[in-house]
Amino acid sequence: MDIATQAIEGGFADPVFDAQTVFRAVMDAMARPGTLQPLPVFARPPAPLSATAGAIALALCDNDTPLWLDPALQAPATVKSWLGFHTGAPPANTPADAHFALIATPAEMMSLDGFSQGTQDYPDRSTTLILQVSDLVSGTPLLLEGPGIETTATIAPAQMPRHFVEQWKQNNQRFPRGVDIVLASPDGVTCLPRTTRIKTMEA
Amino acid sequence: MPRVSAILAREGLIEPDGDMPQDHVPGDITREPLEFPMARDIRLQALSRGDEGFLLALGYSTQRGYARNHPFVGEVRIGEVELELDVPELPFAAPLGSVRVTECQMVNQFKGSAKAPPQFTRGYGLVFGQSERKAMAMALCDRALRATELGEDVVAAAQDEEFVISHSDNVQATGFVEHLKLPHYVDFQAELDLVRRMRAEHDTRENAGKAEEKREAAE
Amino acid sequence: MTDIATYNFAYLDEQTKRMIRRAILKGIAIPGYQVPFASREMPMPYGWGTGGVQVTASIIGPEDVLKVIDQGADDTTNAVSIRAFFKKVANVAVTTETAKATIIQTRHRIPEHPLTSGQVLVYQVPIPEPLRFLEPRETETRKMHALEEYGLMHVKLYEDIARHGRIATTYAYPVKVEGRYVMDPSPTPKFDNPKMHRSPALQLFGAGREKRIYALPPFTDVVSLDFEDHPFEVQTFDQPCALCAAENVYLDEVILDDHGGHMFVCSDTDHCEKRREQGHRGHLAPETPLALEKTEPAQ
Ligand SMILES: [Zn+2]
Repeated sequence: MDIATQAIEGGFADPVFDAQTVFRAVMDAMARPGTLQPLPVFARPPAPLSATAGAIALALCDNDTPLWLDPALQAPATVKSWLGFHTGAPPANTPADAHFALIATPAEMMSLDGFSQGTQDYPDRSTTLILQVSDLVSGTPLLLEGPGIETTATIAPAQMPRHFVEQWKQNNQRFPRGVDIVLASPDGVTCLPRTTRIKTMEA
Repeated sequence: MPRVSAILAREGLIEPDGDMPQDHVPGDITREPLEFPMARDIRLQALSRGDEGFLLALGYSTQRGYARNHPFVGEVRIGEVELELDVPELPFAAPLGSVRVTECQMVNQFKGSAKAPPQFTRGYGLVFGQSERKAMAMALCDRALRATELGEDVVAAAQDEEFVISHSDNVQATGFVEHLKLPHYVDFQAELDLVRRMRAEHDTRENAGKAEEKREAAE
Repeated sequence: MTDIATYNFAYLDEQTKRMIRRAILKGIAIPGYQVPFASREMPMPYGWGTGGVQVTASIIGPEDVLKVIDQGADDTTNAVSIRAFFKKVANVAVTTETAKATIIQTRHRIPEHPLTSGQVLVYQVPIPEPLRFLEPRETETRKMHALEEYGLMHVKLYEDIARHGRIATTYAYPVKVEGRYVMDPSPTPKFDNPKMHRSPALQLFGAGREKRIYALPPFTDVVSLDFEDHPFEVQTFDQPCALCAAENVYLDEVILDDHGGHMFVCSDTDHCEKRREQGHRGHLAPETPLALEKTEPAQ
């Protein structure tokens, strides 16, 4: 398949209803941090962009949202052209300009504070990070607390960023500023909004 | 046809025509929520969509001394402007048609301030349709709203950006005034209950006071 | 099938929905913070629920069951119009039963029936800024929120106590969310404030004219502002509902004749009907039982 074809194929089959379903899963995940909101395969983006991360990008990004891609996603021209064709999102000049960032290899990603944190007046003007993870069970267990969680929740996402717990603590301390994380796994979507506290971590 | 303001500009007697910085991307109030303080492009868009009666009254108030700005009509003109659509896939702008607009350049005397030398300053009005009255009123308001930029004291309603722009949209104003027709009996019940209680307490106090007076008078 | 061909699903165009959806996600991530959004003009006047309608239109899907209330009632003009709007433009099932709804859009009340996980309560908000009546300037109130400087609000409430012996705010009673943002709960009676605290439902607030969206995720701390010596209290009523005998619910005073005769009845019509169906009867309940159609499936 040539680049032009790869850029065009694999979008939402039913843009209105697919976008609604994906958004609703992300909304429920953001409202209930640590829960897995299952998503069927709605998009078939070029590798290494995953189906889940691709679908989330299609549901939320457009020409009003500068988009930053990590080096793994920058590398193949197909990912950029696929996202460009389906969303119209302009590439962000720097991570700090990005409304959304797509990250295929979280373990190698730059630190969270390199992205836009919003301002004290407008904390909403921050980057939402979409991290591709292979699963939510094989990584280090994270015990979660905060709004949206009745008591506690536990997830163990694989291949998380380096020193994640420490970085997340700093993200918490910047509140109301800070980034929000959307974990895109093959089964669906899980969120860590900036309000979620990671209480303890077992080794 | 040259503009009157251009002739004045040759003598350096009038400020330049509202330049924005080189890298300024014009805002769009239909696509972004308002934020105060705002750049003049955004403010002009809001005024242009503003309610004619509201702008008229505010412009009039400046003439009566509430932030008087010594206006002269430099020019009022009516014409058709072409509307084009930029389609990324097309190498040219696609024409959509034309729309009639009225434009007013108000020329205002200005004695100078710490921020700007003595010269004529401008107020600008551009409105849809043939409406000299609204274009002129808008130009008066635009000039008044430049008070901070020109180093003038903000002393009157017409100079108060947040006040003017927050209340200029008549679709918003109409809706919010008319929504009072909707039922409000739940909140009213809450207030009714409170007023009844406070009134009862007040009456108890009054009566106790009167009884006290009577007792003292009797002694 | 109803003809919805002339509209996109749920009326809004997809770009507008995306913009609103992004604002909703930020609102959920920063509970109680008012997210500015590019509110659109809707086919109804501002002040009539354009914010709530835009939020509902952006989250609703074909599987949803929608309930709309105004003043707690399903049959009030605003509720009837908005329900009809979504039946037409989204062709969704609608209901008057709180328990059966997945999305409840409301003006001025929170249903009496406890909300559950998975439900979304969408509030129509006229003035989202809790500090607006103390400081009309957005430039100032934004700073106060940024600096968490809420002294002005406490001064106002305390002046109430000094002057009236109590806090004289009966509806739109300000709350503090997760110990950070002071938030306006919309003009619900303060009776409903405790229902917001750690509700299992997601609560979304839309203010169309003021172009703000904010949110309370489930299980979020929502505390009504008060003072140690003047703790927050909800309204109480001296008598039960005249139709269903319910106690500890919010009642409306209904005028019965030209001489000021009145009765107190549930403001939540669904709650009242449900109780009467279950056989509860107030002292003015009519003899004939109710037979109302409560849920209409999508066509
Ligand atoms: Zn009742």
